[in-house]
Amino acid sequence: MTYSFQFRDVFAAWEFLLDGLVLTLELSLVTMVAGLVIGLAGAAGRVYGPAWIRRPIAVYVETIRNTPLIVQLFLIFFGLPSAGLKFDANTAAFIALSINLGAYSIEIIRAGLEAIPRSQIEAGQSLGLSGLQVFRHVIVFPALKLMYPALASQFVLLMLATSVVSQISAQDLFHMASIIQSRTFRDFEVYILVAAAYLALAMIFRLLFAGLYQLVFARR
Amino acid sequence: MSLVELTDVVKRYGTHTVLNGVSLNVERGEIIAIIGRSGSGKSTLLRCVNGLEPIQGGTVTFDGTIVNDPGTDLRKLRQHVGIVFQSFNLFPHLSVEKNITLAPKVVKHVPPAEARQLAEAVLRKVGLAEKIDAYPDQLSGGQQQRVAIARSLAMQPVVMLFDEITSALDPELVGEVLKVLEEMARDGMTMMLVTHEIGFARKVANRVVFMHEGRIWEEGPAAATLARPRTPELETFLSAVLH
Repeated sequence: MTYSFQFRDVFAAWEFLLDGLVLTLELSLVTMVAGLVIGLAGAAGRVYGPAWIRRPIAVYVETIRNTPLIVQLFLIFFGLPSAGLKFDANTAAFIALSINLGAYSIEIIRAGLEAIPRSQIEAGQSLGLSGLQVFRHVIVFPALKLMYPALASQFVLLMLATSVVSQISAQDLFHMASIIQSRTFRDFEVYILVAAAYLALAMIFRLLFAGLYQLVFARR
Repeated sequence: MSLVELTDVVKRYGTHTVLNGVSLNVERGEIIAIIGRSGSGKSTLLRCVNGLEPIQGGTVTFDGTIVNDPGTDLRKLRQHVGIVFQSFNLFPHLSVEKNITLAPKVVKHVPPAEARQLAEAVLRKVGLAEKIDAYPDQLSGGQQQRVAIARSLAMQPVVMLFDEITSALDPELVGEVLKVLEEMARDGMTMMLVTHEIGFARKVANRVVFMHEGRIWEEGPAAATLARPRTPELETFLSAVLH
């Protein structure tokens, strides 16, 4: 097998790749924030809420975790317009990714909440704290600390999974790669470069998450 | 009217009856030691006083308020009823200061500077002023339990409940915690303590309550009751714990 790599044409299109990279980053970051919010609220409802809150959340979590992300994405982008709800590709991508990450986050944070001993809650209650105050001041921090590695790992997976949004023509890194490929016909080079870009992004996220842990959770 | 009144209190877990008609009055300034075998219902009895355990029969009142009335604001009530647990239950992610000032700040809205002074004051009472910036896992069991007592004191409770607070401690650390209790007793604090420290009960308690099979089996003035048990059950129990 002799293949001579020619990266020149591919590199010449670097501005496309950069644009794609920016959208991938934006989608990832915004979705992570949304996922964390949905995760916290949903997990609290799932663990401490009354049955009429717990059940729908459980159904949501299990439905999302047991269907492919790309199907969820297509339902929102191609399906919902039939019901009169039309989103542009980026918005649809953001919604689908947030709903997806939210479900996984709920399941992870739920495990964290359930690992907090009952005695901690009782100690808070005995001091006159309300349920919400106990949650906020006593439970959330230790629970998040406990589940941080799992959550961070899920967030990196989400960043990688954003590549499916190219299928609804959102112009992310992977979509841009396809464009460059169709122009240059340098498939091998393009996808090597894109793989390297995702790898670098993932490494950067992992480093950032590790730094964040040191900053927020590791006291001494 | 007594400060704490329990009348015919019944507590069941499913079909298992833990408290089977318990009546007990506690006056202001009184120190009551509750003793008995494990499973006799003494911890449950204590936890009914601040509403941690819902009851299935009878009434518990604190300062005229019915604790087991669904309309009672338990949060308000618990500001006046401190409880210290066997396993300390400090908040591991908060410093000693934050452990102590959390409730005063979020429940009573004490300003931060004042809250810090409050923490310093209660820590001096338990002899741990220098540990104000430490974290729970940097402290010995005895120190953690003294911080837990300080945390309760910071809410300026009217009555303090102690649930076997020395049972999880190494023997050499028991003394420092009991010393704090003795000082509180001298200050006139109303206390209900579940304990296995019979010697301590004899020394500081006004009254001893012996629980057996979910009932108050025997009660009376501490010294006399412990010296001359009237029931064979208390006699057996005492000889077992005193070796």
